[in-house]
Amino acid sequence: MKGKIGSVNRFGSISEMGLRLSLRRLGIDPEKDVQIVPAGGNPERLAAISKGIAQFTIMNEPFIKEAERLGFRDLVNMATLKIPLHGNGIVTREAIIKAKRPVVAKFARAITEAIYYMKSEKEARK
Amino acid sequence: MLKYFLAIWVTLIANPIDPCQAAAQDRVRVGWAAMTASHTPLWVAQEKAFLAKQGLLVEPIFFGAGPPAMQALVAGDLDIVVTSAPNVVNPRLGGVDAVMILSIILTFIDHIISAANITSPE
Repeated sequence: MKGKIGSVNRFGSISEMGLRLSLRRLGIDPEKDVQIVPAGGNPERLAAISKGIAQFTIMNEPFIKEAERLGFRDLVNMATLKIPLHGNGIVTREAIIKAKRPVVAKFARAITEAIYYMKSEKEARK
Repeated sequence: MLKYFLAIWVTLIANPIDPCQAAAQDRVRVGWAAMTASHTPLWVAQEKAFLAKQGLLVEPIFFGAGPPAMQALVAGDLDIVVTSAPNVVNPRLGGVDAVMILSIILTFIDHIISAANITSPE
């Protein structure tokens, strides 16, 4: 990837942060060894590689399968780099917690049950 | 009189009162920010009725990106947003009382996709 152009959603997004942190873990300096450009969402970034505007990007499912189907290479699984990050979560405001605490707690319980179901049920992992 | 009581009894047996339906459900407006696998727990919770089990009637609203969803949260149009930590940090630095109460994904689950002629990261 050294000397190549990588695309992200937009500057300041989690996709830029993820790509930069991953490149560093791989021994590549994102400031000096590559160029990073904003290209939009997953479909737009796939189009950017197709047109040669960029040579690599960061992508998640279901677009990874689509990229492989189109002949691109699944180069690095970033999960293997074990970069600690709260990649996705339940966000609210302290004012909402004060006003609707039981509702927020119930929502958290429901999501926790969903995560447990996904991890424990064989049918969920198909 | 006997026919009257028999008619009521048959009606109750045929149409039992569901205690769950009798209780009012709490409405929750939830914004979600990306069409990615990291949002699966929300969809599973909806599909498997885990939210209904908690007495919640959830209205999921798709935003396509974290920042507009966070703006809607700050404006009072949403109760909850499913998004990533960086989308919490910036509003927090701006003085908003945003807080992440439950982390779903603890690392990056993305992949680096490259042109076919790139065979290694270096």
